[in-house]
Amino acid sequence: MRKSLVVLAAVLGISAWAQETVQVVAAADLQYALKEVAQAFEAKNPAIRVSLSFGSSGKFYTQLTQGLEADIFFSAEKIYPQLLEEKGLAEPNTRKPYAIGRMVIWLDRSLGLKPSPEALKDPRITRLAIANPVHAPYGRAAVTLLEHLGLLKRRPDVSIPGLKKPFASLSWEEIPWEELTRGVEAYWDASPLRQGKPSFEFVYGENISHTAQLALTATKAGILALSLAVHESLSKPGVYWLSPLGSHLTLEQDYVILKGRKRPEVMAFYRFVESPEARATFKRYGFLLPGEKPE
Amino acid sequence: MDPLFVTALSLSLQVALVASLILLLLGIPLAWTLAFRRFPGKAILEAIFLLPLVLPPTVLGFYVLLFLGPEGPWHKVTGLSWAFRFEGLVFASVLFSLPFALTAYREAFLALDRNLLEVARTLGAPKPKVWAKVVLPLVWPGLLSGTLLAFAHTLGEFGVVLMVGGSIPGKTQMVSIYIYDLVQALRFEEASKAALVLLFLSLAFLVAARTLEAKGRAWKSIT
Repeated sequence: MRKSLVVLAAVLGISAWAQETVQVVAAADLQYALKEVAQAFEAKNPAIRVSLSFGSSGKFYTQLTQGLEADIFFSAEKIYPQLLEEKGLAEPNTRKPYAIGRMVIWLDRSLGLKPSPEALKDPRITRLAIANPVHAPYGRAAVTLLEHLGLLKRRPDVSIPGLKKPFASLSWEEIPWEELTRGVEAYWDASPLRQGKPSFEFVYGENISHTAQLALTATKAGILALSLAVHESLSKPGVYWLSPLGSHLTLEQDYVILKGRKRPEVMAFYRFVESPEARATFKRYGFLLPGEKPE
Repeated sequence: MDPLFVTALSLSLQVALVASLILLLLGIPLAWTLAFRRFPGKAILEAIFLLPLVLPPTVLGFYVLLFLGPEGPWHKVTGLSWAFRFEGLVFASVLFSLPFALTAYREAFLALDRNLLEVARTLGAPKPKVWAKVVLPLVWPGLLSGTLLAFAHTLGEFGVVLMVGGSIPGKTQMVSIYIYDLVQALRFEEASKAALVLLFLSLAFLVAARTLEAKGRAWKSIT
């Protein structure tokens, strides 16, 4: 009885131990890379702990405007840190790019397909996993990639309230993604690859990591982040085709310190992200570094 | 074991403990009123308390978030910001576990032999004494079983706490969300280990609750 009470007390009390903690919310494509960066940082700064939370950038943006407390926000697209800045929720002059995200078409090895956009026309691929474009940057990039590849066509008759230009004439950057809540199918046609029938239906992931899980366990095909696809949990069971930059919405990834959070330990991690060591880690996971040209 | 799992489990236990204690304090007078009093609008009030049983967790979580958020009424009136915090998780947990506690408490009260209360009162026992000597000894298995149910339900809740708490390790990442995050990170092995722990905990709590209920029934038949 005594012993179990001690154990209970330990379990209940364990979160009370205080240590300098940096609270990080990050885009899900950083799942593996940022974890490594944080570990390297903690190894050098044993007094500081980095607490990581991963999800879709749009979801974190909403939560941050609704009172979620965090020190640093790593977004998968620069629009969200920018909006936080405009709303006065970020520390001024702390928004910086840390990486440029790359995207792949991922296919399950069991399909035996050569990784290429053409593979998506295979009749066995009936469902394609993409991140939800409404709030996940990788989802938006996926839609623009499919459009670029000629696998999706904009519906010409779509009208979006409050929009001056016709939807069909908008550039990728101008598409009001948050307004497109009815799903991609309502705004784009899967191009008639199979005698007038759409070639596949979309399965939306809550964020890019969830999308990877869907591709791995359910759809056998998905448009994923390169930073996840290179990890063994996806590279062993699957193959991928790397989409060239310029073929989709550019995923310029910015990070920012949130308002009132400029503590020394936060600054230390903020700066460490720019260190050669951290940059090398990002690079290893397939990110392009700011200012770098793809080879 | 992964320290994050211990942290998440610890947070869940803390939220569940605080929420079920609040439910005990709140639920006893509520259940008593619902069991014995008659008043207009009682059916509606009962329906409202039972609503979390059938309401989609995201709907409940959404309303709690609106209520607790920076522009919500709670912040306006009290100046407190409870969204994405421990307090918010407890608040939401009290709401979604209320029907579990309330139903069990009310059953316990309804099973009371009213004659015993009459006898105690006619013998001149003051109200607190009637509670201490007659009511509580008879209803405690029911109260405890309801509290255990509420505790176990809080421990496992997912949808509401995801909406209200998000997933900040050590702060709002409860154990169900920790498992969800592991699955999203494709760490299926660790996820299944953590899920197994939760499965056994839930089972243990249910067995305890059922045993107590049976005990309550046995006591009733003795008296």
